[in-house]
Amino acid sequence: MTSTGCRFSTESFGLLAATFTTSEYGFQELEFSSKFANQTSKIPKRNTSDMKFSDFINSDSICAELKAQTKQEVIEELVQSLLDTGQIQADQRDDIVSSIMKREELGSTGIGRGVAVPHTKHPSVENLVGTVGVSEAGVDFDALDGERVQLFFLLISPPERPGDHLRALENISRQLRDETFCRFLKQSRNGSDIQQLLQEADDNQFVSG
Amino acid sequence: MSTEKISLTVTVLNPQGLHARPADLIVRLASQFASMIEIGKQGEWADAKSILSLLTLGAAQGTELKLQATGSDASAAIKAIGELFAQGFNEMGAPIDA
Repeated sequence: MTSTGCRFSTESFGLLAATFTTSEYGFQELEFSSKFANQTSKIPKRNTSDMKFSDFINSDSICAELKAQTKQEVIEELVQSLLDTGQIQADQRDDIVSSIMKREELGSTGIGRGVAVPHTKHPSVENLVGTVGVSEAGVDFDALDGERVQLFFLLISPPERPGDHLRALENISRQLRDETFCRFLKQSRNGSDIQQLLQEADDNQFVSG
Repeated sequence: MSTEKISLTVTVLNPQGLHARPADLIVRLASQFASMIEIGKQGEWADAKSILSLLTLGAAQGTELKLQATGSDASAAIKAIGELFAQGFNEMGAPIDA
């Protein structure tokens, strides 16, 4: 699981060149490019608007080809995937599935554009845990716009941290405004493609014009 | 038909903030009005009739938002949506799993 904190140690600062950029949303980010590691890391300035997919999506548990055909099955398949990759505890699986289903009864999390964000708060997780699933055929998820859902972002958050959940929803909805990103995700048929798309979104490569 | 433009500043009162369910409530209410209705946070505007758009605001408890409606039923729209905010989206009582 990736923490939302500082991603490298202070002693590596000497090797890094810092530049200031202003992101799409008007807040500043510090961007550090390491000339030795040949990689770019970003430390977001403390801002409630900033959370990245890598902060809450566990890439090993991404389900590129969902077999599920019903809402219940989608949720079970995604939660099982989080269990298989050690993101949740085995004895919590059934309770998590039923609490996500209970949340769906309050109103579908199918928010339109073929996207759903099934979620729950659960005391068994210490950090926001999430994964992505894609269904080629789409699933009837009682979406608000009546469309079948192809793209799922499942989120489980600690009850005492509503802000993290909000920021994850904010990140997902901002990125999905970009139709190319949305379409590419739905067309992805393997986990590494999805992971790469999420990474590119994190790196602001899908900036809507 | 007269067109009016009405705005109102509201605060997010419920502890969970403007998450998916309140956004759904706003969309359902806003969609009953003909006016264009927007909700703004620090100069960024979201369409009150789109849940995907509202979620981009990431508005936590205590956030001040500006409601703005333009159209023939703008004042009724602002009144109705303003009340929804004032009621904390009916989430002010027992914690609701959201």
